[in-house]
Amino acid sequence: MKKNISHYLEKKNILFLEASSKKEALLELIGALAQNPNITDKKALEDGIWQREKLMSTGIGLGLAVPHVRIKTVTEPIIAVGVSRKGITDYKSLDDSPVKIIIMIAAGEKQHALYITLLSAVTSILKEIRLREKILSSGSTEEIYVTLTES
Amino acid sequence: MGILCDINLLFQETNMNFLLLLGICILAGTVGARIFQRLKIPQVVGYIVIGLIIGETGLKIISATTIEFLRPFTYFALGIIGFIIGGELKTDLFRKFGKQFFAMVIGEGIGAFLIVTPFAALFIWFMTRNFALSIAISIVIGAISSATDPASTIQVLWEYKTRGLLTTAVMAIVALDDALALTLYAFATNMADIFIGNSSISISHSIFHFLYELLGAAALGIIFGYILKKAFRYLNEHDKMLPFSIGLILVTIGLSNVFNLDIILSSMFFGITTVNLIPKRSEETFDLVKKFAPPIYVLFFVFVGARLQLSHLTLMIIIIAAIYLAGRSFGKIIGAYIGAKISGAPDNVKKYSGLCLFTQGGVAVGLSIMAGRKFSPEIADIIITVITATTLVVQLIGPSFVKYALKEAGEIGLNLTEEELIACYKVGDVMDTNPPIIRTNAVLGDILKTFSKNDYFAYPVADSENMLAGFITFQEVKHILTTSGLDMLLLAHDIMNPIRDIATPQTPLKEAFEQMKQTNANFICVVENTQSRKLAGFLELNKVNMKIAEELITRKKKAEGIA
Repeated sequence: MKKNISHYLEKKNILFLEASSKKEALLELIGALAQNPNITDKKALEDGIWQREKLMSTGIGLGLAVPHVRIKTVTEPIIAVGVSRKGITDYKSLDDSPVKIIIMIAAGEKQHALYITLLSAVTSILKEIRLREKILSSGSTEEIYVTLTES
Repeated sequence: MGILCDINLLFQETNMNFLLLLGICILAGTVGARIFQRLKIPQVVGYIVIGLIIGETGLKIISATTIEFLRPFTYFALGIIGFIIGGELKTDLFRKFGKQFFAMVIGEGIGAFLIVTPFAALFIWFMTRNFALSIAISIVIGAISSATDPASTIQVLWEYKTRGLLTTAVMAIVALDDALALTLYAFATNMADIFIGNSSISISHSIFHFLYELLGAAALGIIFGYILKKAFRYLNEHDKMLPFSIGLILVTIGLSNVFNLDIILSSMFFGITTVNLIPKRSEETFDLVKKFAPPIYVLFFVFVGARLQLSHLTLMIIIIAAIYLAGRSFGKIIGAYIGAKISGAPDNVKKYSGLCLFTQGGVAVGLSIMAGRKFSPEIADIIITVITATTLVVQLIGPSFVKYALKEAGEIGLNLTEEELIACYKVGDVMDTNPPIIRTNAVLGDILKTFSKNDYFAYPVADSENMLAGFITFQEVKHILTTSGLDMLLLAHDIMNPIRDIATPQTPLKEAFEQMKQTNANFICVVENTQSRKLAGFLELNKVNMKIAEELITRKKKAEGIA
């Protein structure tokens, strides 16, 4: 499964977030993803992400959020990671704790099975407290990449 | 008019142009039928009206000579109609309803005869003060009034896919009353001869002639039925079965002409023999002949209209025609009612069968022409013109009465095939208007609950305002069941499929079925209209197929229940 994540995650898509609000944080990650050829329409990605957040927040507690979208304009699944050391307080997580790690997953409309597998893999990795702490204490995106893909 | 004369010449000069004429008649007849169908009037009226427009009464594009030349087509149509009617008359039907059919045929035929004859006689006597003449004319037209036209009546039954006791009774009556008409005619012409002092032909001769016609037709039909049965051993494919059957029908018609037999009767006996000798195997043959027949019917009815000549109409003839029409209609209604009552037929048959017996056609016109040859021009003219004028009227209004009666009896549409039933429906008629809906923000637990409580293959996903967003099948749910930790992360919105096909309640069901077939789906989401995404219902193939099967069974039971 780790192999799977490394297949869809690139170091350049891992960011230390400057943003202090949910909106800014998600926009930063959308901006990063939009740089990739897998994303053919940034606007559609953005709309998809907001639409999903409107239905229910993707903040699943433990300082984690997994915004995700499955839309036509994504050619291959892709992952972006945002780390906010100070935490985003307006994310409205399930446990009301500030969100510190955001993993954004975008997949194509017909990649249902892979999309579900990626979501499941990411959440199960980050439910481990040791790994979450390691990510938050990382000094570089390189370290976060290694933690997520080789831990 | 100059151009019309030219057109007429064009059709008369070479054989090639007959093909052009036939083509135009079939095309124009079909268009006419479509227009009348839109006006909810049986198609057969459309064919006849087109015939009237292009024939002797109207534009005279087809002359009497041309029609005479094309008479074989009329025979062909009568032969096919006779054969198909015969195919409906299985012996067990007679075993079950024979008494009823017999009583009703006698009732409606004699009823018309007994009412038309005295009233017409009274009026003609009043006008001419000639007792012999008035009796001669009225007894002959009275006898002719008993005949019903099987062709146009049965066309209406077929067009509206009727089934039930009234349908069965009407079919049998129109098939059988030709024989009664021939008997009454033989009796009437003899009586007329006696009254006008022209008794060169004896009653016994007339009876012999009637028996000859009836038994001759039966013999011919039975022989060809046996031939078809034997031939069926060697004919298994459609491309041989159809031409051989049509060939035998043509030979039956041809020999009926050679031996001066009634074409409908002999081909009807052919049909009766066939259906009773090989009931199962002949089903396909009758179906094939039915499918082959429509262009011939169209021509037949267009020619019926084209042939009608109303140039000799005088006030006296108009009044005789009116008496004939009123007396005949009344006589048939009362007579059929009495016949049905005596034989213990159910209410629908008692009440409505008379209304189905107004049409008159080939047999009536044929008998009037025979009478025309037999009597002096003074009598002949009145008989032929009265029958022609009344044929026109009843051919135009009769089919609508047949439709009305069958509608009232609840027998319309009870004989539909699955395909025809599908063609009748719109999506709105069969869709599930209250399907289980999965909301876009439903979590995994809710989705699974919906799946466990219902037995749908797929579920529409819609927001709180019922705007359609997508659909979920078990396939999507299956993926989630094999993963873990997603319970609070996944909503219906995340796993749903985008909409592929949509229909509206107004979409014809057949079109929706084709759409599903193309996309290999077994369901379709239904939205209020093409501009809106508001969910109106859901259509699942196996549920609709079940509904259709149930409906077919209900209709069959209803028809049998009525029967």
